Amino acid sequence: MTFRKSLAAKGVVVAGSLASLAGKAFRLGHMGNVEVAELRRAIALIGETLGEQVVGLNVTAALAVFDAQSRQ
Amino acid sequence: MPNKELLLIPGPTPVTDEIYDALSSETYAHTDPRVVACTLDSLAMTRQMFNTDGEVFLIAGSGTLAMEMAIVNTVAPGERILVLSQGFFGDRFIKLAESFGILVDVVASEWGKRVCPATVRLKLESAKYKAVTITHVDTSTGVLADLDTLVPLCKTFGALVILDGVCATAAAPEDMGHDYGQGARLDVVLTGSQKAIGVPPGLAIIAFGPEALAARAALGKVGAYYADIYNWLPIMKDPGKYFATPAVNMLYAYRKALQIIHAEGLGARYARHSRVAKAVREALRLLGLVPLADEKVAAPTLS
Repeated sequence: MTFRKSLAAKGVVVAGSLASLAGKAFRLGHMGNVEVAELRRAIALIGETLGEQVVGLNVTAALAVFDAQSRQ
Repeated sequence: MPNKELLLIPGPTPVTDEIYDALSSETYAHTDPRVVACTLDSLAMTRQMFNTDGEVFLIAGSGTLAMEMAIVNTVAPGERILVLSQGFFGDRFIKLAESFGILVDVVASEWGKRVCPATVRLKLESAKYKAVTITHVDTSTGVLADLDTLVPLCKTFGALVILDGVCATAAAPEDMGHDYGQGARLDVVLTGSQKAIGVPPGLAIIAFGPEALAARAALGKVGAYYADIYNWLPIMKDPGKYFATPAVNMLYAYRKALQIIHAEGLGARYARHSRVAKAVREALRLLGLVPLADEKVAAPTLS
């Protein structure tokens, strides 16, 4: 829940989870007319937010993989 | 209007300026020829999207209304349905159907997994089911249903196949003309405006194929008024007629969204969703996150 609040403060809103998963997972939509650039930004900010709790995250590598795989 | 926040929940989804502009166009009378034309246009593009010659309905309401319409117009009280559930929204069909005195059996998967086809077959062999519900993508778990296996299996036992496309339409194929094997086809596809279609919430959308329409005819009277497709049929044929006031501005937005969808091309849109979903999950895995659903069954619309 602090993760989602932190992320929201950075301007990215993701969903919590339902029922038995509540508090254990978040849900990320990536559908409709959302742009690839917006999802890239979200990944960067998720990385940044996680990095506030976890050391050694390689956000650059994650973005590189996203760039490579999201390309047509 | 630039979106101030990046809304990445599994519906509603980010709305583009073109769609906002359409949404905030001047409201005309619901019987105005311009609104009639918009409705007819939207119905035609919806038929195209579902690849159906059947009847399509655009009704003010949420996805759950579309779920209700699917059930109440095909199944009578006392008849039995089989719910295939891969999460919270699969489960929703249970209480919904029971509200109408319909008997419900369930095959449920562990959250994050698909239902086991062998278990589904055993259930289908054990009782006579009027209909089977399949949730194309369950918004609670991000699991994509295996239509290629489930649709022909259900049709072998003579059940109507009702597909909940709320979190899948316009992101994954929902082709009512597609033969899944031995003539097995989707009978009902239901969806909502607010997910992969890209419009704000407010429209329930549902298509009935020939077998589903035959089921409605055989029911005669149904235990619903607003959700009774027979009350809407004359309106969808001639939107200048009145039953209940349609969500005029939502129809403007929906028409624009469909134009965008068809301009992209369904195939391209489905491929984009699949590609981008995989890319998102791969990147998030590198950040140490673990998707609930295995990649083989993971949805194109949410993770």
